[in-house]
Amino acid sequence: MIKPRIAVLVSVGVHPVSGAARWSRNDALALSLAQEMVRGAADIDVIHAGDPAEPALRDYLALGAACVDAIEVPCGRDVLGALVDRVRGYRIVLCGTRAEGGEGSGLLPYLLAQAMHAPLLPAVLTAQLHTDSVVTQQFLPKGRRREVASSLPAVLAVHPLAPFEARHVYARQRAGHVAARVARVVGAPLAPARVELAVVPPVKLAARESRSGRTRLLAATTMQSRGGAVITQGTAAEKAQAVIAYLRRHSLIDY
Amino acid sequence: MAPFAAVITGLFWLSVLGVAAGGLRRVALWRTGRTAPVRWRGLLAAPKRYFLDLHQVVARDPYIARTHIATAGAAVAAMALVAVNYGLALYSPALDLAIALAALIMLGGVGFVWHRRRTPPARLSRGMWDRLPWMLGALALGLLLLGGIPAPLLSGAAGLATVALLAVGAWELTAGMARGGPMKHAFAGLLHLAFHPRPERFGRTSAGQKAALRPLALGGEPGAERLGAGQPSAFAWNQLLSFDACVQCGKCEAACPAYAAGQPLNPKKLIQDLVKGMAGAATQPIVPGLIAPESLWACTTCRACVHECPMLIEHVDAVIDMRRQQTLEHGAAPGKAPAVLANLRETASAGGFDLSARFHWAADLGVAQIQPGKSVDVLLIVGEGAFGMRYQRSLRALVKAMQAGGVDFAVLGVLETDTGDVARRLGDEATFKTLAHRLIRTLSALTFDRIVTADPHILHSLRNEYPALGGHYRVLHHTSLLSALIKAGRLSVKLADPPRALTYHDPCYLARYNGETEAPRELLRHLGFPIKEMTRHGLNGRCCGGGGGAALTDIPGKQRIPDLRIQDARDAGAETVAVACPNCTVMLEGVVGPRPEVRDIAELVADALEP
Amino acid sequence: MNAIRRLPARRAHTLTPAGIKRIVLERAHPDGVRATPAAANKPLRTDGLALRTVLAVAHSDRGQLDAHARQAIAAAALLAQADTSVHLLVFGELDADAAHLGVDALTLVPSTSAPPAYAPDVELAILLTLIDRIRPVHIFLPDNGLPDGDLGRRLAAATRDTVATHVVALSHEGAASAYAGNARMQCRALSRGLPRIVLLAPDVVDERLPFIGHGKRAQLAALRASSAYRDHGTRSLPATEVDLQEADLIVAAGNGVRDLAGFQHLANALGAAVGASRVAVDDGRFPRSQQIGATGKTVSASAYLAFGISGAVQHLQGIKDCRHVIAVNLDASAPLVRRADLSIIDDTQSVAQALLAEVQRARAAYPAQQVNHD
Repeated sequence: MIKPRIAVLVSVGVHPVSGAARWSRNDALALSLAQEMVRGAADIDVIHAGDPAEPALRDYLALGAACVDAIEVPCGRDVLGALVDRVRGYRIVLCGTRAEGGEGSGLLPYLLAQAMHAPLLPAVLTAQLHTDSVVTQQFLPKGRRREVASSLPAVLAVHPLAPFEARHVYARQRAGHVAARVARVVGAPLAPARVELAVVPPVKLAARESRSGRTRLLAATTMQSRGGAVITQGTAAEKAQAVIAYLRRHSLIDY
Repeated sequence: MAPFAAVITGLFWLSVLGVAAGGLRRVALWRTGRTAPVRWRGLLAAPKRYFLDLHQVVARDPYIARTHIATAGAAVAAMALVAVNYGLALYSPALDLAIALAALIMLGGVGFVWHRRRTPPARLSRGMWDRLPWMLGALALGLLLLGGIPAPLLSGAAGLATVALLAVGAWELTAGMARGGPMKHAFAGLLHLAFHPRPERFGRTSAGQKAALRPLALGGEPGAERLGAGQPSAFAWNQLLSFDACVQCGKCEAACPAYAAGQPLNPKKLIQDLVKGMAGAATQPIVPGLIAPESLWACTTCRACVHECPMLIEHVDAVIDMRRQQTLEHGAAPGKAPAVLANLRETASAGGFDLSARFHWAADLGVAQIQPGKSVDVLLIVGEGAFGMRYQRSLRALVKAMQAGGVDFAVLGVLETDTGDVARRLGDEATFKTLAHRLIRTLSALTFDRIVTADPHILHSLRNEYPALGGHYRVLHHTSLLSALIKAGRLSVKLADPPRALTYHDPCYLARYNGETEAPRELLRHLGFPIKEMTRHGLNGRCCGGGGGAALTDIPGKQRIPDLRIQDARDAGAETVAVACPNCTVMLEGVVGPRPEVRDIAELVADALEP
Repeated sequence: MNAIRRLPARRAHTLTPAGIKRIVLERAHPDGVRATPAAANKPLRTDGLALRTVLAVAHSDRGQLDAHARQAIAAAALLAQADTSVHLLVFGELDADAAHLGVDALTLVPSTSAPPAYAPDVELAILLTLIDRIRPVHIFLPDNGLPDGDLGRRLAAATRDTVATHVVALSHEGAASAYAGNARMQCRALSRGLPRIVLLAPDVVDERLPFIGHGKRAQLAALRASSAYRDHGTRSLPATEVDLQEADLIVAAGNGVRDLAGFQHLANALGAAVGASRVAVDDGRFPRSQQIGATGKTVSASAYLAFGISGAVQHLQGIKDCRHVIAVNLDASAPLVRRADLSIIDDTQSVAQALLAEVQRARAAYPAQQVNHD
């Protein structure tokens, strides 16, 4: 069997308090998932587009990457082209959901998947690799989990709550190395972001208030009836059946 | 020449060969360890070390100390006489009498050993050690018969019996030693004194230097870096020698706070497991085959085991070496340790706090931040405790006291970063070095005379461990400073009225590590507090459980270590426990249920300040 | 005679069985002043000619839109000018009246199975078709991970339009997103003008509108196209593994619940998480971690069954995001009864026991179906 090529895209994270550059927690989960998916059967290529001299990239070596392939993209330029060019031909590309620094829009996996004409599986918690397909367990709110599969090649965006423990090991960091290479495709310069200090909390978008002060006070302190049904008559059993009927009617239970 | 005497002579020289062979066997096992310099001069120093330094430790148990002098001294004397009388074939009856006399004393000593082993303390190992009084008794009896009964009368059965007894004794000293029997301790123990891995222990170095960890050489060829001890052969040969000297007395086990709390750490078993590993395949991994990981991570590095050990074994060094391998090669530190290590790397504070918030508690106290170029007398370093609301009260009290005493001091403010002590205790030398170099760089740009800190862990790091990395500072604990201020009359305090029943809990890193037990007590006396000492106090104090990263790795046991210490305080009848360390404050205050009040000495001083 | 009418200062009150006077805020005043005007009195947002359109897109869950989705729709309605019409695309059913959401035209795309299968490429195709037809100036979606945040980003990648994500502040001039720079200061990145696609963070828009829309409904048949994604089914984690704040079905115990073991049995039978009111926690019957309310946890379950909870304001704050509230209480005048969608006035203990029996009987009769898509 030809060894499947697996790529993990990593970014430079930012500590929320100190602002120090560090390994991105979400990208580390993507790396851990990749390691579990292959278990030594294939080599994982860990890829970064940005500044190869960034010290935080060495943290990924400590997390288990034998080598970090750092494509040099000058500051202020779009990294998408370089990444698309680099991951051409890979069967699986794993990445995080949101970057820790900057805007963290979470758009990169989508742009990448679009450029690769490959399906994108988001919010991945765990995944199993098969010959021609990948099966993922997806995170849904309210304690639900969904299993979604697609054919290869595919892009997997790993959810920040994926159940892996990343171990930072000094010996691995010393054994690995960061390989710098020049980008073959240099993206267009990005328009500089207009960033301002958020000193005051943002103003909520709302309709202009046109009610009188008294109506606003009463609205805030009193409780208008929702118009729900009130059942006073009947035995306890009948009332319980009414509850079950309500739950069934609104599809809150499936029995 | 009587045939009997010839037999004894033959037996003697056979034994000499046997002892040599046994000794060489032990040496061969030690040599599976890493090469380290052999300080031959140590052999000359061994007698002094035995009679002075060792005696100080052994004398704490007078019964066994005297027994040992009787047994071992008499045995040595007897065998020296045998060497002269029979080895050199002098066969003098006068020497025979001397042999008999020595043997009698030895027999007496053996009797005390046997008596001790009838109802031994729980810490004492049984097994092969239980045969020791019998083997030594046989030797003593044999020597007594040999020296006491004139040679012509020793014939037939009596002579055979004498030879048999002597042979049994000789076997223990020769083959027994080679196979790792109890008597190896004489050989290994003596050589351990000569070639101790920490020779500074016997010298005039400060107490703190005797306890300072040595740095790892990092940064060489990636494959060639030695990252701690993962297998028995990774220990230095004289460390393996030190493990071999263990007599399994269990004094370390009885002193260990983790063992007392029912955690899976037994220092005696730890050392013996390493001996087993040394005698087995020296390249097998220690964890988890020989030692369970929980045993390593439960250690609080309090050094009570080292303090108690009569063979002067350095258990803590071994634990740290093993932790270094586990952390640097496998990242295996459990519990909250990985998160704390990540915080230290990424924010230079163990809790991941904003460094500029470290001194918010001092906003209204008018404390100056040190400026490069402006020199101050005292630089106050507060540490991680400054981020906690409870300890901030102690720090405020300290600042008030220092200001009342007219001390010219400043703080590092936003420049203060962690010393890296916790990282080092957890085995992460790399992070420790990064933090240490960072702090040294910060301090080298500033001018100050001395550093004062209320945290003994910071004190130990800065005073004793930073010099190896290029940072040399005069560091004082706040109790020393305050005590000196009061003695000099610069700080006047009123006596406590009424004086509450108070006990003082010695921080391990201040008392056992750095030998400072008097200044805090003097301070408390100045304040008018009569101290009700707990049974274990001073250099023998019991750990609170907060050191060595143990509170982070959080290995479960039957009890919690601070609960034991608070019980000690209750048993001493104290209403207040005076502490001198932020970790002790947190650990002791975490004990639930009715308990004595926990107060830092600085708070007691501040309360007593004349308004 | 004084021309200024004085409002009566004394509040209406009741006497509890213990004889203590309790002021009731929720009763209407004796002179019949209503709290808020009825919704039916709201005017139309605009009845001018619609030259342009703004589009809001959301997924519904069992026929209802959650608060985040309603905020995104409100954003579209608030930013729409007088000559712009508000179009809403909903994947799923919608029970609510589109007009009250401020929407002029509603397009429904019912799902082919329940729960709907994961097919974002099919949904994207439908969305692109609609966009091609109505050519909206702006497209608003709630940025909620799955399913709308996912769909919005697929749209942005497919059309390469200007886009703003995790928007925390919004106005006609532009959108601001949270920005984590290298400094530890909180920053915001501002867009130049309002982008075409806007993905809104939660609680950025006040969903209460002083107007209504035209609310015309239309239905789009779901495309029978096949998806590149194969949905193998959705399962729920056992209630014990799920955080209270994430749980979808909660039973909450108040003062009236004394039989704790029985209550736990009921929760297990329903597969629900267990919460408690402040009174029950203060009494020691439940740990603080299970307290629901302003000082406890805020829950956003789809169904919340309250047993013996009267419903103080603080508790109602904790359950304001719960979609369906069922109250079981002896007191018909309890504030929770006004809030609840179904109230049972009876003894808490007997109803709980009866419900347990009913649930067990229902489960035995209809074993839960494993939903499978291929």
